Amino acid sequence: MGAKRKKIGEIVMMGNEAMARGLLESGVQCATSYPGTPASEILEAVIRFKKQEKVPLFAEWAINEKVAFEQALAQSYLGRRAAVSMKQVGLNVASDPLMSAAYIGVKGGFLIISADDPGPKSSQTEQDSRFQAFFAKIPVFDPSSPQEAKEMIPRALALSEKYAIPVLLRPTTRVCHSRQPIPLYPLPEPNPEASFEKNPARWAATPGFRFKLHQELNRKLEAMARENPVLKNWKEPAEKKPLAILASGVPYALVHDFLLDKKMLGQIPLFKVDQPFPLPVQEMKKFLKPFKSVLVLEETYPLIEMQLADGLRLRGRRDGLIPAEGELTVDVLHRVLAELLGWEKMAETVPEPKGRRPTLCAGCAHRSAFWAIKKTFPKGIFPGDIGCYTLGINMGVVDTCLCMGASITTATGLYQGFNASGREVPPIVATIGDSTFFHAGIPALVNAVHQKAKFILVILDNSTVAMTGGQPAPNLATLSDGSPAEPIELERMVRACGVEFLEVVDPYDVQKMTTVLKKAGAYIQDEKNGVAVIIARHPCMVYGRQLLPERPAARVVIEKEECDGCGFCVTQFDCPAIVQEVKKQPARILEEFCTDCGTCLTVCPKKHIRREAS
Amino acid sequence: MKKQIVIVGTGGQGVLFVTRVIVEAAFLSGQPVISSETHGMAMRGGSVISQVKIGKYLSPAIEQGRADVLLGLTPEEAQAYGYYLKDQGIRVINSRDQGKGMIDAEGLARKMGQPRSGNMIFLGYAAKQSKIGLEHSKYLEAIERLSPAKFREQNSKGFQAGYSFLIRK
Repeated sequence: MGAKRKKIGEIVMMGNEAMARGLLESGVQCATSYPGTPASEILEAVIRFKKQEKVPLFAEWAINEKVAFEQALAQSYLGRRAAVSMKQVGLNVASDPLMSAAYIGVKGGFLIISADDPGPKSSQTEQDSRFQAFFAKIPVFDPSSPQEAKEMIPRALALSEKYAIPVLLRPTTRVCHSRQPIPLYPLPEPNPEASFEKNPARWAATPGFRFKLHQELNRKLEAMARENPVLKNWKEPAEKKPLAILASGVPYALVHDFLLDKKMLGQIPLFKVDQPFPLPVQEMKKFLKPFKSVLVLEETYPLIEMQLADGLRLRGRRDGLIPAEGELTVDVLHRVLAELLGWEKMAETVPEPKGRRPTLCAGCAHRSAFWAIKKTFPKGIFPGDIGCYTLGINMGVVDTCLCMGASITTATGLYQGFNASGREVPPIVATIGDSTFFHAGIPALVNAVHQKAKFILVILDNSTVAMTGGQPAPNLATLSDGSPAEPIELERMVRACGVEFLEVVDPYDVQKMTTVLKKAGAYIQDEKNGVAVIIARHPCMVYGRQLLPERPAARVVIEKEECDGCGFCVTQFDCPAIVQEVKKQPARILEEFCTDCGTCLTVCPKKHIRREAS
Repeated sequence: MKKQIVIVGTGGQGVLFVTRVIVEAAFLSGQPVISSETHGMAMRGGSVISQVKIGKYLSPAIEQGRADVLLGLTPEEAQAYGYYLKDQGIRVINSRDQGKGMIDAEGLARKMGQPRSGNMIFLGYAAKQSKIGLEHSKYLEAIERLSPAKFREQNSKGFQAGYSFLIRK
């Protein structure tokens, strides 16, 4: 970055916005992503800043993380700085290109931002992306705050260019979704350079060359470990203490604040690790050797601890002092320090209350579709998928949920297992959202059709990625900057997968949805038929407002005098607009939530939910 | 200045906006500040919790029993997350019930004819009752900066109404 830049302002930003600003300030010319909590707002902010600052960079959502990774990597081949962001499980999807890119290397700086979710709060796993970096043999930065995440971006890109290697930045939810004042620096002049230098021994390396590239990678790692600035800011304490603390990422901020509050900052030697892999292991061990014990604070798996394992008395996750799962909270930290320092026993920590369970919005058409499925196939098995509609679990219409796109493969496997065992095959109805279908459902559907698996697939099409904030799906006609896109029509895609039975229905019409489900159920009974697909199409109540049909004029009501308080609608339909405060008393519609969609008219077994005459 | 504030409610109530206004008001007062938010799955009607720390902190995390102030946009969540509050901490609750530190912000919002500004009425009341120590004018400036143009006036009016709301003894 050269000469010291001049600060031009300061504004309060969320961690994800701070990272987006950091990408622009570092002259990144390509940013791609697939949405996923807690990383979604990174690319959203890049797109917003791009418009505000009129920066000519490529910024777009991709169909999945592997695709996002590869298209950004190719821009790095041209010498352009590129970044790809995603949530931790997204990096699993992109792990194939990740492993190879480490060997092959990069040209323009290439940054991978993979946001972890200790807890987990909004994820399938609380896996540690730093271990993905370790596995792929690439360096990783571990920020402790939004400000630091932004500051690390130019450092990471410079390292990437110096060693021609992809670099990972690993924020966690507490960095992504924290907000603090962020200093702003001017954006660099746009760099229009883009050239591809042919070098098949690198960019198209065959196994023989890959061996050489692996040797090269190992040498890079050794050099980067030596250059890891971890020891630079460490000062030998004037007198050796029995305990030293080694902390990385958010746990560093936690222990700092904890010691600050206890007025103990400076009393226990506290060392920070910005770049937990690769570490200068021997030098660190020499430095830490005189301490009787070293407490290692990191999230979520013990990466630093593993590297320093031999020859030091380490305390942390490996010896069970810190629980091996869950977020490292300040309460956990307090307990750990109390034990190490022999403080008196603390009161029990109150477990995080379960809180209210999330539900689909009132008027959400996913609920209408789930209701029709449940009514039509009371004995069905329901493989589900990742998105808002995972909440169909509340209605008993999601029996499995593994990872993106797995509803279709699970349905395939269940069918084949029942079929091969000679047992009767129960009705299998899989559900998947439109964006998840595009993400990982297409190969799964081709496979199912080809192998003649017999199940019903309902694609819940709300034409957006709703769970993560309404990002565009590939069935839309515009790109994120408003320029025209080629809309990929779901019907054509499904047909192209070889599907013969395809019906499109608005699930608000429960009657029709039920008829179509029955027809599909009959279709898959026939020996010669395979998968039946139903597209249940209705815009999202939150992110598709402009597409929603006009609200019915007649309001939905529960006749108080008629309702016998059986509670069927409340337990079976799970709509936030219908409540029953007291058991066996009449249920009530909350007018402020109700959208008058009318699906519940088909729910009450006694027909006591009706439309007011208009 | 050092203050630790926990804000709780349910998805869709505006917990995030209330948090952002407090953070912005602290920033406009020249204070270092950091906050955390809940996003994702919980937003669909589930319990939502935000934490704000004003002072030279690096992390927004608040230890149990250490919060100076607890703002509850629902009585249920205020109850469930009450363990964050320290002894002598201040509790402000949005509730249909009446009592110390309580306000029926939604009821007041309906009476004012702007049913969607319950969260700002609550914040106005909380700003006064909670002794966070930020000036009234900084909150107003923060609301001005953060509100979309079409809600700006309504939000300021809501905040003012809450701020001048008198507790009936």
